[in-house]
Amino acid sequence: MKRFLINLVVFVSLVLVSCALFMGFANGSADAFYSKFTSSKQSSLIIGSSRASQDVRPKIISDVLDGKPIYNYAFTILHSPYGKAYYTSIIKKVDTTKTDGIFILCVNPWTISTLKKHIHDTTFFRENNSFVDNTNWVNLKPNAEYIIESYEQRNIQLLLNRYRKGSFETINVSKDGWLQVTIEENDFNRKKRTQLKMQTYHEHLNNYAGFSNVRWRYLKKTIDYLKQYGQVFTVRLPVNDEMILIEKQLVENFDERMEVLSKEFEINYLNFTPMRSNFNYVDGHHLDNVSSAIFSEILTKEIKRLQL
Amino acid sequence: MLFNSIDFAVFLPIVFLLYWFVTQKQLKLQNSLIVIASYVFYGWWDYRFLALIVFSTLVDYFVGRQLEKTTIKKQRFYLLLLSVIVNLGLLGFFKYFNFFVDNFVKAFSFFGYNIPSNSLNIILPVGISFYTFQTLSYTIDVYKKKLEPTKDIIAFAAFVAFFPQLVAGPIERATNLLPQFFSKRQFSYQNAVDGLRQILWGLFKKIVIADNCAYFVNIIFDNHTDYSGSTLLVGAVFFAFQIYGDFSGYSDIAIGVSRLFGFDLKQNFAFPYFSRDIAEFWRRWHISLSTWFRDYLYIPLGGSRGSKYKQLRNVFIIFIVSGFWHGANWTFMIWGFLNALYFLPLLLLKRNRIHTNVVAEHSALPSVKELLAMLMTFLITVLAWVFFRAENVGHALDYLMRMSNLSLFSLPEIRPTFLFVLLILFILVEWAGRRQLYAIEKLWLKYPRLLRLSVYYIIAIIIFLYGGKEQEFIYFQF
Repeated sequence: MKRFLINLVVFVSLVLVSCALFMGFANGSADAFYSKFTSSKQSSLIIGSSRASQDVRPKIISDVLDGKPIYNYAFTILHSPYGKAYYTSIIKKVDTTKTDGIFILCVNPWTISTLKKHIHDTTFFRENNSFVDNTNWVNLKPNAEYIIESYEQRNIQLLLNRYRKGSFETINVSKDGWLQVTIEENDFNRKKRTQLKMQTYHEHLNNYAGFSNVRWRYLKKTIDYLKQYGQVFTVRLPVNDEMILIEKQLVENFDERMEVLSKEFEINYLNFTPMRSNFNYVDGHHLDNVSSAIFSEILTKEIKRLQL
Repeated sequence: MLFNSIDFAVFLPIVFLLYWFVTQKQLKLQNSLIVIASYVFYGWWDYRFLALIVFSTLVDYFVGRQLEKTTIKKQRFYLLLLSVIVNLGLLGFFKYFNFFVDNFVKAFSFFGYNIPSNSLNIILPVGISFYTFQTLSYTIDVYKKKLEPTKDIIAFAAFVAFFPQLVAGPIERATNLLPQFFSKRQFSYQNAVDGLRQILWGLFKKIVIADNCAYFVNIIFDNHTDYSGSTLLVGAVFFAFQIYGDFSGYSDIAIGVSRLFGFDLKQNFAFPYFSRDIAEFWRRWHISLSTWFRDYLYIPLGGSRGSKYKQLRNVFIIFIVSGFWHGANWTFMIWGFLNALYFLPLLLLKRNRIHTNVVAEHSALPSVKELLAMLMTFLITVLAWVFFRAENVGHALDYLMRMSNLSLFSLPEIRPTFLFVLLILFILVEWAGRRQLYAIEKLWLKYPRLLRLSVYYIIAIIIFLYGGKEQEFIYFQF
């Protein structure tokens, strides 16, 4: 038995060490989320769904704010609408030793809505059991927990994705958490993509029940929690006209609700949808890389103005 | 709890250490540990359904005890009937209730009578098809006086719920497994190492072969109208490897884990894709289920005795029932029916037992005739698997129709090179080890230890590299 156990332990250790070393290859090219669980705790965060993940660029914000670092901890509408899972994850990510942070909470009707099938359920939402819910260690590098439990691709992709070339649709998460999506850009593709995306969101309307009290409560809890560690801004990101109409059907008085909420918590609500025609979108509701840079600068200037 | 999960990676060493270091002096204690560990293993998935296992265990234990006490034929028959009704009743309710209700409603609406559907939202308890068959075999064997009923309820509970094979088999016979709970298990270095080797190979089959095939199978089957015939063929072939890797991989892990605890389970897969005809395939595929049906259904029906009509009837019954055992869907029954059809000519020509040995037993390569026979058998199996994988009969028929046109000879749109390479390597290793209980049982034993360990290390690393998020085993749903 002794011989068996020693041999087994040696063999398993060798395999585990090799796997751990291999995990070290993983970086922002692994997928759209992995990197966000590998950075240290952050004193300033960008929160929200995929729009926030792609549209709000920490480096530009940081440059305008005289080098103050901010981290993009936004995921997608499937994984990070406001709710218990995301709230818990945010708490783990915040550096509670500092109180001068900036927290940009991107909001839109989808982030506070629920599916019809979950409308009477106060505990279950579709992000439950997703990686946002399941990843307990959000500051680990390499993050074995995420890779083993949640990484959707074959592990060999951790390495191969680093050398991906020639593909027109690639993703990369920067060190500051910004999700850069490189997508084939021409008018035809853009139009087709937008058409498909809008069609999908029109279909989503049939499955969504609209405003959720539970999600709204968690948005409030998130604001309340983050206010302890800095200044909170709620931001509605620009989207195209059609998406505005869809979102109006989902939660009719969204902006009014946000205004009331902002007053209640004495924070600012920055609604950028009125200037939506100034930007270009890859699919109707995500800004392209040029527009995201312009938008991030506008947003930061506005924040800076409000800070004064 | 899945074998390919972190939970199990923690659970197994804990149970192993408790088993050999804490409870090894008392057999009863060791058996009790197995019962507790098995219930934890099962309860990890859904503790509510533990009650079903406990109920099934108590009923069959009681029936066994009563069968021992009476010699009156009628009483014995009623006791057997009680066990059959309870076990098949549970299975029938949880697995087939909605199927019968839905089909009943459809049949009535076909004749113009619209009646409301009262199907229930029933969760299928994992492994119910496996452990009910295992306990049934005990009662039937006791009834037939092939087996002495046990007085030891702990040993019996351990036999019913033995965690390595509880949720997806192999379906063990009481005559093989139950006596092993009565004798003291000795730790054997060779057996334990052999068990680990089989676990390693099982994980390779599941994580590398099955899960990687599954990725493409899902894409192709879910969007079959978008693809050419050649791609659909690739999808069907991948599914053949997926189901083999998934299920035989699970069996290998189950058998390997059992060996770590000093138990010996029966071989469940014997390289079925190297079969030269469908009869040989069914002697090599899911052996524990095939022999269960053979012993408890086919032979009692008359087996291959009697008129040709009766023989054919028995063959169709056993294959269709076997299909139905897999799931409450017409697709499974058609899959069973197709296999019965394949079997038919062999039975009529009395050629169903000509291939009872291992193919190319004394040579490294098969003859051309053997190769063609294997390819032909594999091809007809693949066609039947389409029904097994499809959502419904219409889906399967449409899939096969679209596969059978000129685009079958075009270049497939989906051709993952890495998977083709992996499958070729896999087939070569399986071929090289086809005379063993599992492919790598003795494959590299003649090499120096360091080289052998290096090979196992490489297999382990490939499992990690080509693995991803844990995927459930297909046979859990049966």
